[in-house]
Parts: sequence; C-alpha cells; structure tokens
Amino acid sequence: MTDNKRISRLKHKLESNRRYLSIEQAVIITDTYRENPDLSIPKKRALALKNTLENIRIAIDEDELIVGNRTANPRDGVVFPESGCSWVLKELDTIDSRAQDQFLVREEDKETFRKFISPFWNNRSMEDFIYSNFGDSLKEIEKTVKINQKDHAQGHICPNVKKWLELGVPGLYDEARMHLQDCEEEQREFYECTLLVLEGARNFMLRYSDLTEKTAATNPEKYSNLSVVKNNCENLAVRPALTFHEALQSVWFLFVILHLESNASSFSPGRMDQYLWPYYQNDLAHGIIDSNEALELIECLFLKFNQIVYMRNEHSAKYFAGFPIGFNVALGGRNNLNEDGANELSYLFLQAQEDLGLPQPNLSVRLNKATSPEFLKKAAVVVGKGSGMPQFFNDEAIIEPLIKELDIEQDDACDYAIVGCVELTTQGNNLGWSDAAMFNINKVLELTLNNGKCLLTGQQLGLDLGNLTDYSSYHDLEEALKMQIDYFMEKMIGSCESIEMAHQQFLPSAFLSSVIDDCLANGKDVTKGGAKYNLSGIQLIQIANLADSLGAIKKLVYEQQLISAQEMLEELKSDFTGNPIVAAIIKNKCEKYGNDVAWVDQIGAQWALYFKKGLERRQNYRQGKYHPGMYTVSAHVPMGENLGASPDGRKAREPLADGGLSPVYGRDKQGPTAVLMSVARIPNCCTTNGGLLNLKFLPDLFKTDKGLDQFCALLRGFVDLKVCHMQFNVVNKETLLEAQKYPDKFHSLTVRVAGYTAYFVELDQKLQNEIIARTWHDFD
Amino acid sequence: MTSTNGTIFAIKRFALHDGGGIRTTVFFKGCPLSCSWCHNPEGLNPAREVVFIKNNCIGCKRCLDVMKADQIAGFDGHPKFNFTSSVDFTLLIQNCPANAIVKIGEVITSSKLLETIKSDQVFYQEKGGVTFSGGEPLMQVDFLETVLRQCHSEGINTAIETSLYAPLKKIIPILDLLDTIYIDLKLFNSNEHLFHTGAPNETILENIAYILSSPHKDKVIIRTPLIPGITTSGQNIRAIANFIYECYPGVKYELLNYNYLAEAKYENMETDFTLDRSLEPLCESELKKLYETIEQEGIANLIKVH
Repeated sequence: MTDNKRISRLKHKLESNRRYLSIEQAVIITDTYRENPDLSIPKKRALALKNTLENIRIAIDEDELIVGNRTANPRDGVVFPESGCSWVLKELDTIDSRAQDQFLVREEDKETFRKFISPFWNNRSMEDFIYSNFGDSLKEIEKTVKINQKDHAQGHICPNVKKWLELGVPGLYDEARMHLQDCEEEQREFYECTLLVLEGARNFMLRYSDLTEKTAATNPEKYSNLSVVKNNCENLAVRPALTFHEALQSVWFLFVILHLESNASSFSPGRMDQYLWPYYQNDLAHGIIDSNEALELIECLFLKFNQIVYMRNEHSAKYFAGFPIGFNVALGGRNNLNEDGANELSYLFLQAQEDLGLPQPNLSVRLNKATSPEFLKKAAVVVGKGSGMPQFFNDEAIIEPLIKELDIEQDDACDYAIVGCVELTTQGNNLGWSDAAMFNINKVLELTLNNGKCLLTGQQLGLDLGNLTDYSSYHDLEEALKMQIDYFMEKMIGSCESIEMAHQQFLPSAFLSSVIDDCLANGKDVTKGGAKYNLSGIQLIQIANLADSLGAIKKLVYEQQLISAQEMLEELKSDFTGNPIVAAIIKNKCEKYGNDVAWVDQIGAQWALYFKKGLERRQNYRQGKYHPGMYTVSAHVPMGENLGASPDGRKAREPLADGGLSPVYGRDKQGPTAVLMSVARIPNCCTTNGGLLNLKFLPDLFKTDKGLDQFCALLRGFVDLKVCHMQFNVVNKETLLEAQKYPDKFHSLTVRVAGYTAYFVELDQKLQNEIIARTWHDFD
Repeated sequence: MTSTNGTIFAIKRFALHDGGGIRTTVFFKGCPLSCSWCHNPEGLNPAREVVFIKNNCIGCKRCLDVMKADQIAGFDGHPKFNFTSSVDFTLLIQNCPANAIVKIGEVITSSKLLETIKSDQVFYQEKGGVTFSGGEPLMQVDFLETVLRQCHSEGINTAIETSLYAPLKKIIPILDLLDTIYIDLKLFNSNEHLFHTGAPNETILENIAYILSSPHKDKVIIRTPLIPGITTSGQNIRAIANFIYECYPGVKYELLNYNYLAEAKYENMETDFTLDRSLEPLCESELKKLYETIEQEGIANLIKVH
C-alpha cells in the first residue's frame, strides 16, 4: 500500500472505472478509408493514425503527472476495424454479459457500428480476408493447432525506447526525411508514411500540452504540477527528453501511439531501469529530483500501464482472460560487461510494485550469478506481497541459446527483454512474432492412439496410422507419433505463412517501424521483414501431460504389461468410466514429470527437442527462423477442453498442466526443488521463445527473515540449474475461496494466472477454480 | 564403527523447519522412546512394516487373488490383513493398484542415501543442507556416522534432531561431523519422562550436560515440544531452563507449539492415538508466560515462535 495521497486517489479512480466498448477510433479510421479510396493501404493506415492522433478525444486527470491515453475514458475496449470487427458485430449484444472480460456498450454506439462501421469493413478487413481465403485450412487443424493473430495486429514487440528517447519525434522525423531524399522508388512510400505518422505524434503531444494548460487555468491549486506536465508535453513535441520526468512521459506517449496504431497486446517497454538510468542520474546530480519524487513518477506511469486494456473476442478472451496487455518491464540482468545491471532505479521499480500491486506492468526480474543478495531479497519481499510479481528470468539459461540457436549477436542477447508474458526478445530490433501458434501435442498423441480420430467427436482429424493396439512396441508408437506431429506441423507452418502474408498486406505499421531497427535504414516496414531480427515463436502444449502419458504407456503397457493396450484404449474411449483398476494403476504405479525422476522427465525433453528440430527446418515468411516456446498463458484450460481422456489419467476436457513447464497439478509430490530439477532437464534450446514455470507458496514463508532467505536460496538454485523462468502465486487458498464468494470485497486482489497477473474476481469461474486447485507448496 | 546400511522411512526435500536454508530431512526408522504425542509413529518400530491405508483402497479385491492364507483375516468391504504374519508381502504390495497396501521403511546404502541428499545440493547454498531425524537417528549411529562422514567430505551442512537417548560413547564420535544439534528435551522429571515416553531421562540429561560443556555447545538448540497438560507446566519449563542454563548460560532454547498433524497418521499405523484429540496449540498469552519463565532463568538465546 502506498501512503502517497495522489497515487491513492489515482488508484482509486482506476479501480472504480467502468469499461465501455469504444467505437470512436473506428469511426475515424472508417472515415479516412471512405474519403481516400484511391490511396494504398499503407498510406490509408498512416493517414488514419495521423487523423486519430489529431482528432480523437483526449482527457487528463488533474492529479496526473504522466498524461495520455488512447481513449478518453480509461480501460475502454477499442473496436479496430482494419484488423477485424466481424466478431464485434456478432458479439455486440453479449459483450456486456459474457463470461469473461465484459464491456458495457452504449445503444447509440451499437447503431453507429451496425449502420456505418460494420457494413463498410465487410470483406475489407484483414480478418475477412483470412477467413475467406484460409478459413478452411485453419478450421481443419483448429482442435490441434491454434493459429493466433487472425483478427488483430501482432504487437509483442519491444520498441527501441532508447533511440526514441535520444532522438525524440523531431530526430526520428529528420532521419526519415533524410532517407526519403535518396531512397529507392519502392522505399518511398514507406518513408512518406513514416513522416505522416510522426507528424501526427508531434501534434498529439501538443494537444495534451494545450489541454493541460486549459485544465491548469481552471485549477489554481494544481497549477504548479499541471504546468510541469504541460511543459513536458510541449518540449517532447519539439526535442528529445532531457529530464527523468520528461523521459517517463515520452515513454508513455510512445506506447499510447503504438496502441493507437495497432490495437494489439504486448508492446513491452523492456529494460527501463537501464535506459532511464542516465536521465535519473543526471537529475540527481543536478538536484532536479530525489528518489521519492522519482518513485511517485514511476507509480504514475504504473497506473497508466493499467489504463489500456485489450478487447478480445469471446473465444480469445477465454484463452487470455483478464486483460494481459503485456507492458512487460525487465529489471536487472547482465549488461555487456557481464556484471549485473541492477541499479537504484531497479529498486524503485520494485518499490512501485510493492506499493501498488496492480496487474500491470508485468514486472520481470532478470537473475544471474552476479545478482546481488540485496536486490534478490528486495525482489523476494515484493513477491511475498502476493501480486505474483516480479517473475524471474535466468540469464544463465537464456543468453547462450539466443546466441547459439537464433544467431543473435552477443550484445543484443545480453540486452534481452521480455514481451507480453514470458516471450523472450532482443530490444528494439526484433519482430519476434512470438505468439504465432500453439501446438497441442497431446491432441496429436490422442489422434495417434486412435486412428486419427478425435476421442470427443469421432471426427477424422489426423492421419490414420492405427491405434494403440496396433503398435507392437513403444518404438512403433513413437514412430507413428513423429509422423502425426510432422503432418500437423506442415499444416501449421502453411497457416502461419498465410497469416503473415495477410498482415503484410493489411497492417503495415509505419509508426512501429520507425522505432524498430533497421526498418528506417532498410526502408522496409516491420511486417515485411524490415527488422534486424525476424523470428516466429510457436508454443508446444503441454510437456507435462505428454511426458506422463507416454511414460504411462511405455512403462505400464509395454514394459511391465500391467495394463494391456486394449484396456488402455478402452479407458481412453470411455473416459475412465470402465475399469477403475486401470485408472488406479496409472495414478499409483508410474512415475510422473516434476518429481526429479530422470526417465520420465527425459521423455518430455525428447519430444520438446523433436518439435524444436521440426521448427528449425523451416523458414518464416520474413526469411527468419521458427523457434519453440513452452508456455500456455491461460490456454491450458480451453486446450484441455479440446482433448479427450489422456493416458496420464487425465479425464476428457479437464485442463492440461498450467504454465508450460509446470508439472500437472497435484502430481508433483516432492516439493519445488524436485520440480526445478525436473524442469532443468528440458533443454533451454526448446524455450528460446520463452518458458513458464508456476510455483505457489503460502504467504507465511515471506513473513520472516529466515523464510525470505530460504526463498532466495531457491532462486539461487534456480539460477545455478539454468532453468529459464519461474513465477509465484503467493496467496492463501482460503482467501481465494472467500473472494469467489464475495467478489465485491476482493476487487483489488490480483493473482498470477500464467505469465501475467489479473484481478482474481474478473476471471471466469472455471479458471478461478483451476487456480485454486493447483498445488500449493505448503511446508509441513 | 561404521555401517553401510540403514533403515529409513522417509526423505523430505525442501524441508524448511529443520534448520537453516533449504534442507533435505532424512527420517531414520526406529526409536527407543514411545512418546504418546509422537508425530512420526511410522518411525517407532526399527523394522520395516506393512500397513493398509483404508482411504486409498478402491475395493477391487485384487489382493484376494494373490494373498496367502495367513495374510488375511477377512473381508469387510475392505480386506483385513494380518500384518504380524512372517510371510513376505511383496506380491500383495505390487498387486495393489491403489497403493493401499504399502511398505514403510526401506533399507538403504549410505552411498545411495548420499546421492539422494546431493539431489538438492544446488539449493543448499551457504545455510542449507541435510537434517537427520526420525525416529531416533542415534539408534543407527554407526550408519549415521558413515553418512555424516560422506556429507562432511562433500561440504554439506549437517544437522540432527535427537532425544540423545543413547550411550554417550556412541555420540562422541559424531559430534565433530555435525553443524547443528537439535535436542528434544520434553520433561525434566524422570518419572514423568518414563510415564510419557517410556524411558527415564537420566542418560539424556547427562548427555546434554556433556555436550553443553564441550566445544560443541554452540551447535546445540534445546527444544521442548509443547504438549498441553504434559510438558507445558511452568514447573517443567522452569526446571529445563534452569538445567540447561546451568550447563551453559549461552545455550539456545526453543519451544515448539503443539499441532494436530499426527492424528491421521495413527489411523494408518493401527496404533492408538492415546492423546486427547481436543488439544489445542498454546495461545499467545500462554506462550508469553512460558517465555518469561525461561528468561527469568537467565536464558538470553530464546528462539520465539513467530
């Protein structure tokens, strides 16, 4: 809790805010497209952004020290027709009452949308293009592979904030203009678009300056603060940031504009403690600011991070419940000199999290062998407060594979940050396309065990390679599984290419490109491969269930023959309602992933590697690499719903293991150290796009100095074992049950979902139950 | 003397209450005492045992197919086993799909045990390590010494939880190998000790006096489990505090509050839980009173429940 009155007031306003669906920007965009039918799509896009920046309603709060938002009312859900809004038409009457992430809708907006916006975009949006051209092939694999970014821009990127701060809008404008003067013909349009959007950006800042000035004039008691804010906005329109306060304001403008351009999740600020350090240091040296004032400013920015939410369609909201907008901030971590980079600002960012406990930013701490005991302990204290943050990333597990597997230069690899939840990226030069798809390898196993037929519907979804009783050895089963995996990977890659092609055509992003190296130098939009690094990340879902399932088949069916292939298959088909002895044997007579048992963990490792090698052979649409990640966000629930009973004893439609690297809940019997030993067996080359391990602790551990030391010892072990990621839920089970009963009393309770933090009471009940059911690492 | 085989009944990783840092606790099977409140009744008997866990049984009756005539005494929804039978239960255990028939205790070699202890070595860092508990680890002191020597040469921090109810000459050789020594002293009056634990306490007190006057005295933490109505009298706590203070004024002393965790275990062990089931942990004011008593006796190094 903070004792800063300004911050308390702002926080209260944020939490009592009501979310609306907003069509304001949709109207501006639609007008722009309607009035300029002859312009190319890149030009229309750039002009629509410029018009938005110059015309959309803006608002400030008299208490704010950092201003700016993409809608006048905070947390509104923006309808964004260029990427797709057919789902909005379908869900317009239910979005205020759907299970997850509701938005209120004004009647007049519904009418405008139905009469004016929706008809215009019919067959003009990217979504419609994708569905009419590739709908069948996407549907064919949808139970096994979820292809993402079909109706919205990609996001998931770290802009070059350092450059943005150093050059400011005018500097970037000059750079684009210089390139325009002697560019190739095919680059001309790109530079022209860049100049348009940068002009818009400058005008946007000036509008805030004007509005702040007007507000100050009627608010004598807030005059001094508001006039500082006003000057900041004005200065940033004409020159780069000079002070820490200006730098924070500048960062926020950057992210608001990125959201206005793309309406996508996970534009991430990255290593703020590093690139803001010179500004803070300079202010300190000149007596412009002290640490308390800096903390207040950081907290003002943290509040802003919570004012943008991303409105998803009903289906997607189920997968990514609770508005994970993904303002991921990375603290500490090795710098180029191989020392840890944690500085005084890193502590202030942690302090801001401790004070506020809000879902955003998604706060990450980079650990390594050089992390100081003091910084580690501060991070542990903040974790103990229960917001689920910071989450931890391990430099010792991450940097080397980035260099070796993805050919990333050493300096860039050391400077890695995180986008969204846990997706790894270099900063400011990388279109990582980190959420290209999710590959449910457990569904692939299901189809391999059952003649390619879905256990839930009987539908033929995959290759008919026989069923479990046809495979005379475990080796035969493995060979069939490989064929089935290859079959779905081929189809998945084809779909990923289609999606990227559509993005190039429909969502060129001039503003984003101006802050991603080397787009300006190459004269090429980021969607077309203008960035220095061009990757595509695909998630393998879910290794714990796969290892347990194959482990059970290997040991119980083939090696010890405690269960016959026929019995196992019958139980899968009947959802374990036939012979209870089979279910009991699976549960009790076979080792499970997550208990430090090498042979079963290695099954997980083996298939993660197989998947990784399959990706490695392919090239993405921007001539970059595909690479694997192992995290689900909250998709382990809906992906489990697509899956019949599995040989690990899981019943049909039940959730898969959470996280990505976590064991199936309830099956890890040896405590968190054994879990970490198991996870350490999954090679880090299989998580270059990010891995996710959830652990849960009761709050008691964090109440004593001894407990904090023990927690730090666990973190040190995590670093030494080279596990890539770890995060914690620290909250009593009783508290969560209470919150389910009395949601009104627990409005500000945040929990870690999977890679992001959300307000518990805003989650779907099923997801709530699932969070409650996960193992708590109790001690004695 | 050393021995390479021992009998243990559990290994708990990520143990946080048996010493500093992250620890692995090894539970030795067999105890010379039989305290009515014992938390680990499965650790009392030095021999391996077979038990039936009713809650796990799914009623499949597979056991009936493989049982020997003298192993089973009847079937009443669940099987009734005659575990005193000398016949081997291995087949029954293997064939029970629900782990309702389980073996308690395994014979383990010191090198295998060391390997398990080392599984978590990466987490021990400076303060963590291994704790030997039980049962009573000193009942297998030769085996304990072997394992301690191996841990010592690996640089693993070691702790023991013991009642010290063992011959002093057996204890002396291991003192150098231990970093922390938790000594459970429950009752000062020997007759009461005999009544509640099955053994008098003279040996224990002599051993405590020896260690608290030896160079190892700073490794020692004396602990008294607070069993309401049995160990919680002011008189008992005062006598203990006075005794250990007299031995060594700098002694560390800790009270362990009562908890209920033991009861369920007794049901599995076919051992009667003779303690009153309505017992409650001591409240803060009761604890405070006992702390005052201890401090009055001069003890400064009092470890308080947080």
